[in-house]
Amino acid sequence: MKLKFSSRLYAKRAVLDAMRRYDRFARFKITETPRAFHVEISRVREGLEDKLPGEFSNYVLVSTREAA
Amino acid sequence: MKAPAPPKFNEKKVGFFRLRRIDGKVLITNDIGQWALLKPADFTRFVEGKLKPKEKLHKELGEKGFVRDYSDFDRMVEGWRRKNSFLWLGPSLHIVVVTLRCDHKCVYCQTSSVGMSQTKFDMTEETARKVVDAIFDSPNPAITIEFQGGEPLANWPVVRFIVEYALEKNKEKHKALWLNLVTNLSLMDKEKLDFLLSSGVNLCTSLDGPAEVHDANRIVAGGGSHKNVIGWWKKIKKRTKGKTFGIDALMTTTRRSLSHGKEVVDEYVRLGALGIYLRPLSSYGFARKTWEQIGYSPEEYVDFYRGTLDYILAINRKGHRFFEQTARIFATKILKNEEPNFLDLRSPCGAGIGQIAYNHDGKVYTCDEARMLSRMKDETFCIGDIAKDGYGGIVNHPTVRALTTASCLDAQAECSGCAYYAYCGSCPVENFALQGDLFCRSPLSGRCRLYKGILDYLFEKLANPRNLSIIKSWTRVPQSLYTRE
Repeated sequence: MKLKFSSRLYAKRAVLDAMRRYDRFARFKITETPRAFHVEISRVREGLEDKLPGEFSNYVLVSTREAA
Repeated sequence: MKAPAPPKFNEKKVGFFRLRRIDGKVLITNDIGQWALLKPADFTRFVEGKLKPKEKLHKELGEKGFVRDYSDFDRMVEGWRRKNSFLWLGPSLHIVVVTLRCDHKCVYCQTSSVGMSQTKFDMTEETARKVVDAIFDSPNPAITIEFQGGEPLANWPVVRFIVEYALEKNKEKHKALWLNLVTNLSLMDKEKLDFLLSSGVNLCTSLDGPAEVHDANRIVAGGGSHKNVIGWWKKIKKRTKGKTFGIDALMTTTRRSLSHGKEVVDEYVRLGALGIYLRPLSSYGFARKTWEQIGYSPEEYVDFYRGTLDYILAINRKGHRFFEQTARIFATKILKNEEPNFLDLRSPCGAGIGQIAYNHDGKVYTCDEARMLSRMKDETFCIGDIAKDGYGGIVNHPTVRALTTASCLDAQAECSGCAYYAYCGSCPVENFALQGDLFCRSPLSGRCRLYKGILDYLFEKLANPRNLSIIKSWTRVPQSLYTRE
């Protein structure tokens, strides 16, 4: 599963922070292109497959606003 | 002279409200969209908790949720839930840009179209099929597919394909399906019209007023386009009389229009339209030189709007019912406490959760504004590619999440305290393009000044019972039908 965060809307620090906070529930790998941070999510804890991407994205969003 | 002391707020008796001074009175509004215009003395008595329970005003404010110990919270919650029911439905408006080609060179269309020979900007049938499949994956039971361009009729085979495929697909899906073609009518012919009308496709064209205004704005090779538009308008009106679909028109206001408000309205009345939609230009995407020629300040537009609305009200007072669409959208919220689902004036806005725009090349955007921004080489709001991303990936894209949060007025520093909170909406794409931030900086926002000016004037008008009655009658015309008989 991949999530693409526009680097014009989201802070890299917020993405990295969310990855640290959620590392108990899944494995995250970040790659960067000029316009986006791509987060690949794997090995999601059983039962959280549907919820985790949304919750993770919410955390990145709030964290970005707090960092602004 | 010493200023009078402010009224002492009685927090035990007074419910939550926002306020604004309107024409010597005080407008109070609350979260559920209820409002009252109070004389200053009554406002002071209200704030100090000195209204007597037997008073008519106390009863009125109590029913509207302004009096803390008389508020019916269950009813207020139910009203809020009904007004915001769109939050659970998914995208209803699907804008399909079948081509960027156009034969017009309109003064306000700077970057969104290309010349007629550039067929590489046409949507293919393969892409169109995937677009329709994604559209029908939306859980919303009511779907509108809107063809836009460029000029959609320049890619007629794909328009026809999408109409046929959508109607076929809907035999299984059973959605309330609306098909809407936005066209300048220059490439229309009898064969196309026969097909469109037999398929129930609604048409929407541009009419900027009488020939002198319209032809100055909407330039086409060989002269103006006014004569052609009027010719087709009359034919289509005749053929769709009594039908649930027909032809609507949109009017775009340029600097030239500002001094022609009456003539523009007269043209719509002459053509038998039920109303007119006065629309301002948005300043982003224009080169400075062009904007100086055709643009104007929000205050200039509000002046134009006030004068034209007065003229429309005068027409109504003479017995001819004819409405203005911006006023009607706001009046539906203000007087009926209903959400007309106009996606630009909603909180949160429609980007990705109420509408999706599909470009000719299969790229997907949160809304048409985002798609227009992409024509200026800014792909910030691209949320997918129809060739590889499904509906779920598109609507759950982090960019949709960011826009939804940023367009909730509760999250905007000034909007959350504005008296027009319950009626207004923010456009995060416009904020981003003009201010570099999704969140609106209201004091610097032309859109904010413009809508505040319109709403100030509307509330001034609503204070007069005769105007109130006229504007109320406009809300009884179905929202999707504003120029049809």
